[in-house]
Amino acid sequence: MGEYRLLLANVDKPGSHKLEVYRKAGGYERLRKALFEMKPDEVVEEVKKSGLRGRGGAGFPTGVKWGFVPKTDLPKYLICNADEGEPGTFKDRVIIEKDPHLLLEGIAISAYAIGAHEAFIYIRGEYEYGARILESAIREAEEAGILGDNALGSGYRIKIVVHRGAGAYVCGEETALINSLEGRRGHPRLRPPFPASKGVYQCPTIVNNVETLASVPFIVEKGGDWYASLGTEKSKGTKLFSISGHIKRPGVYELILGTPFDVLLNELAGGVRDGRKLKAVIPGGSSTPMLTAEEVEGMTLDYENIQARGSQLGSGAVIVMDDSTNIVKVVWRLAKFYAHESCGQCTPCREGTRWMVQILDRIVRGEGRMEDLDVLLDFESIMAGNCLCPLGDAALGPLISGITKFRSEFEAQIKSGRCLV
Amino acid sequence: MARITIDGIAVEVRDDATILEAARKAGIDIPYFCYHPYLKPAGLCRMCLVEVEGMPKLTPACVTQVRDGMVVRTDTPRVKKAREGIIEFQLLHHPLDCPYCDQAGECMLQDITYRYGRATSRFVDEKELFPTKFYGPFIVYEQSRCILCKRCVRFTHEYMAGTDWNVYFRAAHSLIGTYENKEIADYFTCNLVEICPVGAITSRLYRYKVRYWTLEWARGVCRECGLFCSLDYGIRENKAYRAKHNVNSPGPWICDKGYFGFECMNHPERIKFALERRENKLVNVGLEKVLNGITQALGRYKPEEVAFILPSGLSVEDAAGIRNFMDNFGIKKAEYRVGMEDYLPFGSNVDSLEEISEARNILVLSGDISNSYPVIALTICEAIGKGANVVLLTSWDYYLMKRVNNLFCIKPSCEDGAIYSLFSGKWDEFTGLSREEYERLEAFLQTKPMIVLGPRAQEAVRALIVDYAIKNGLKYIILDRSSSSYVAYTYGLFCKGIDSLLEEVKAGSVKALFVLGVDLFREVPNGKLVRDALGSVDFMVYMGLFFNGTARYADYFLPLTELVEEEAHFVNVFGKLTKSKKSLAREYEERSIREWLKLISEKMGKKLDLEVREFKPKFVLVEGNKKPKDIVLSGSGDFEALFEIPFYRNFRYMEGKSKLLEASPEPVLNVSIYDARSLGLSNGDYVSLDIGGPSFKYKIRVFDELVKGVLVADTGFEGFPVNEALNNRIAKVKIKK
Ligand SMILES: Cc1cc2nc3c(=O)[nH]c(=O)nc-3n(C[C@H](O)[C@H](O)[C@H](O)COP(=O)(O)O)c2cc1C
Ligand code: SF4
Ligand code: SF4
Ligand code: SF4
Ligand code: FES
Repeated sequence: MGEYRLLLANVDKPGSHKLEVYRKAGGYERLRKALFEMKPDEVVEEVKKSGLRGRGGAGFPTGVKWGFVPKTDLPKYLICNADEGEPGTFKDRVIIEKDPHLLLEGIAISAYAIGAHEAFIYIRGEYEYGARILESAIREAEEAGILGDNALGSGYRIKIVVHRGAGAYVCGEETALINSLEGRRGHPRLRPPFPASKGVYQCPTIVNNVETLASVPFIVEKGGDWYASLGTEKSKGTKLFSISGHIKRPGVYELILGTPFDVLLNELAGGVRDGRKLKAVIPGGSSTPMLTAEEVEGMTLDYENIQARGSQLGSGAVIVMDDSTNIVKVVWRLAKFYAHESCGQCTPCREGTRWMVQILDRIVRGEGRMEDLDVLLDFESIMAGNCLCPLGDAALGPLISGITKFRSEFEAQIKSGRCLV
Repeated sequence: MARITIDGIAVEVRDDATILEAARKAGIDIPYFCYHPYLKPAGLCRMCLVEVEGMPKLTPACVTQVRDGMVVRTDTPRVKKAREGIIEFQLLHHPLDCPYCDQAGECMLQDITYRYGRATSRFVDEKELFPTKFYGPFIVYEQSRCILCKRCVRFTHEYMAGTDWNVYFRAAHSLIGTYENKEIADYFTCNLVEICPVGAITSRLYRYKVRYWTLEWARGVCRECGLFCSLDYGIRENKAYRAKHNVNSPGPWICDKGYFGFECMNHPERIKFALERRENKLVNVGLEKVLNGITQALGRYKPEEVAFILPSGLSVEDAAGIRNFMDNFGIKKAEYRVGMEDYLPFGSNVDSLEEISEARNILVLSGDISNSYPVIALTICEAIGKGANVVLLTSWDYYLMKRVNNLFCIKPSCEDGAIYSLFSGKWDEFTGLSREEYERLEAFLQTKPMIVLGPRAQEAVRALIVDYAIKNGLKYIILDRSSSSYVAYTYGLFCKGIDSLLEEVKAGSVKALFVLGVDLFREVPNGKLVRDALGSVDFMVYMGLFFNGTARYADYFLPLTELVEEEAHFVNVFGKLTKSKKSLAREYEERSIREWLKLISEKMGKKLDLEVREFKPKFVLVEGNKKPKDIVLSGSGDFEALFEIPFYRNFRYMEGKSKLLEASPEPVLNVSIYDARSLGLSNGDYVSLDIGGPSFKYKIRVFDELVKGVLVADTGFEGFPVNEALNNRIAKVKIKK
């Protein structure tokens, strides 16, 4: 078992972002198939059958989400979430920059499936190059009559618009994203109503991750059953993993879900650097609880296996830490990230993330107190599940797992007043 | 209806009620900060978390709808833990400066901490504190005390859309404030003070004066406009320190005039003794002498030589008293319409503010509704927030012009003509509306909008609209400048308009005047006429609180009571009666209008019955089918100017309301963006306005929405006699740099 290149099949070709290269590889034929041979509901059915789950982090079954779109006369919108803000995550970027037409095809098919004529790609502000690539790809596709008022001559109108974010992590959260897209402050909205019933401009809206949407063409091409034949019981298809940290070959690798972690870590990424020992792994982006070296033994990369170990597959951003890592500082640095990125709307997240940093600051400075650790652990009972959006819970991920799993390291630092790693 | 149980208590509530509402009904306290009954639910503070059977997480009660059969618990260890945690979090960086915080005693953070918080804190780190910020004359903002519940921001967004007040930055460094303005004084600023659950936004008028718990509360009403908003006054040692709008009457919000306007009661310059003229001074000669003097003087005049000029905010009792006094002596002349518009007809077939807020289409005509009926303007904005389509046809309405969906701005002299042409179905190019604009308005009229007509409109226009509205089944509110219209009209206290009355004074056919609480120089646009009339009046009694331009001509000054110093009833624009109680003892010789008249009447040998047994307000509706009078503009120049008293000066007893006046410190001239550009003027420049003779210094405000060639100039400033150079509200003028 090794890499399985479905989404990444084209990325190494020269000029892979160009329409002609994409078309040569059979590009946009899946859109043609959807538009001319399938009814929207049939596309949704195939996606349901495929077992595709959202690749943005939460892993919600995509076909089921599409099924929530009410049958109304209101316009419907599709949003491609290209905010890719989760620390450690850089997988969407590869698709955006190297195979933009795959994404556009996925968006077009998905828009057709949910009855949307307009789709937005909300791309993080820092991906300036990616935004330009997407814009020129849209232009190419429109000029070729693939997108636009009469997509591939089918009479179906598909307009795709790129919207650049302004640098807030929370704008990756779908309702904050919608607010930001509408020109409001990027504050998450209360749910219900969910975007599927009231999203952009209070109209039914589906938000999907780049990778999720880019997987759709393959499902249309080869069928939901074929897609579902890849992977495990609850984790179907392939997934991009962006692996970073103390390894020899960081990068983005595509694997069939259920592949042993060992394959990713040692075969593909070349193992822990400089012959050092593995200490901890954050398996799915900074918000997912970290796992110790023992905990990742025998782990397979799929939703259920990682969940059974107390963490999540998340966005597939694997952060590897070797034994030179000071976990106190890791936890402190990530806490600073969340304290900076909290939108500040709700009390537990706003105040919790700030206080977390204040306490960890002190510990890192050598002025920690043993009681601090219990206070920090107690944050779980105040914040977990009590925040308006999942960011507050996300901030707890590294904090609670770091302290419980590496408590002795924290205690040593507090006792001695300095870092002992 | 849904039946749910909360902590074992069963309640039945509407299907769309929230858990919090249900709990209130069941008498169970769920603490909250960001919830407010008149704001859209936000679910931000997380203070109201409760446990619901079958839900894995705690859920915010303020935003969670009930379900039939739902079982809610607020008394579990998890809820307790979450509450303690939220309170602890809120207090982490809170300065805990309750000992000198004005909110102490009415602070939700204090109350909730006492009830649900832990006595100790685990916080040992440094607090982040912020400096105090003063946003104009009314509000102080203490960032450090702010719990970021966003109630204030939600209020400005839901009701004052367009007001510069928002949350800036992110995370724990979020802060509330303005983007570009150093001040906020936007008619409804006071509500920010009241809506803030903690001491983050407090009133500058009340700052460091008294502790909340030492105040006793007296129920009264604001008399500044025809809404007569309910207001409770906080009283200590026979002095009012605070106003609070505790009852939803007529609506949930009030305006700055009411909230900051009670100040005149305590004002050091208020006159509390009856005075008599000696040479060119008014002096205290003792009550007896004053009464004798007045009765003797009155004896010299025939009934037709005596007239009354009445104030705004007249109570039912005072109006009845005046009526009986006039009847006792056969006096026929009285006038309440001092603004010079011929106010009849007025009235409305709308019953409440709620009806306005629910309207889908509203056509607002003439002006200036936001100045003269602030809370109606606010309610119109609320309707906009709820998706109503509001069209405004006016020459000037400071607040609404920036906030409506569709604005048709015209010249002041064209207002009546344009409205008249719209309702008579004939486009007239001289109204300043293009044919296309006219057609858009006409199309809007087909949606059967609610019509709100402002005070500037003259009689013929009013009659036409009422006629149209009744024939076509439209809702309408016809407003006038004086809030006394219902009672004054019911008691027949009007004659042929203030100008003809003053002409009679000038000509000598009316010799004796009772001027009750009105400064004619300020209120009557024709200042020349006022000067001539008062200059030739034989005898004048002035009743009021303060000495002013009109009182200067008085032979006698009688001090009046105000607000909660007397019991009285008022009739609001919806024809509803409201009551103000007497809660303050009088100090010296202050009396109500009717009590003075009773003393005088009895001195003259006639009893005066002050009891009002029955009061049924009368409405005047349709009156004939006249053409509007043409407006002849005096003066000369390239500009047409409208002279209006600005909001923060447009109230009774301006002399005694220093706090409000701070928001309007000097006369402002509003200039359209076109004229500002061609004259090279920008905000804050000074110009002089030439009104055919004298010229007056004004500060420029560039107002984007104004029509080219139109100026809107403030009046109502002491020592700034613009009115005296005018004979109407509108005139031709020149600008000199
Ligand atoms: C704080 C926060 C940040 C998020 N950032 C992203 C992101 O950058 N990209 C993304 O695709 N989803 C992100 N999500 C998840 C989205 O809210 C949403 O679940 C996702 O876009 C749905 O797409 P999917 O079903 O295809 O995964 C974030 C969620 C949260 C709470
Ligand atoms: S959890 Fe954090 S990011 Fe989410 S709404 Fe609350 S404050 Fe904002
Ligand atoms: S100023 Fe007051 S009302 Fe506004 S957010 Fe802060 S605490 Fe809430
Ligand atoms: S709306 Fe009218 S009655 Fe109400 S507070 Fe303002 S001025 Fe007073
Ligand atoms: S009152 Fe419910 S979240 Fe604030």
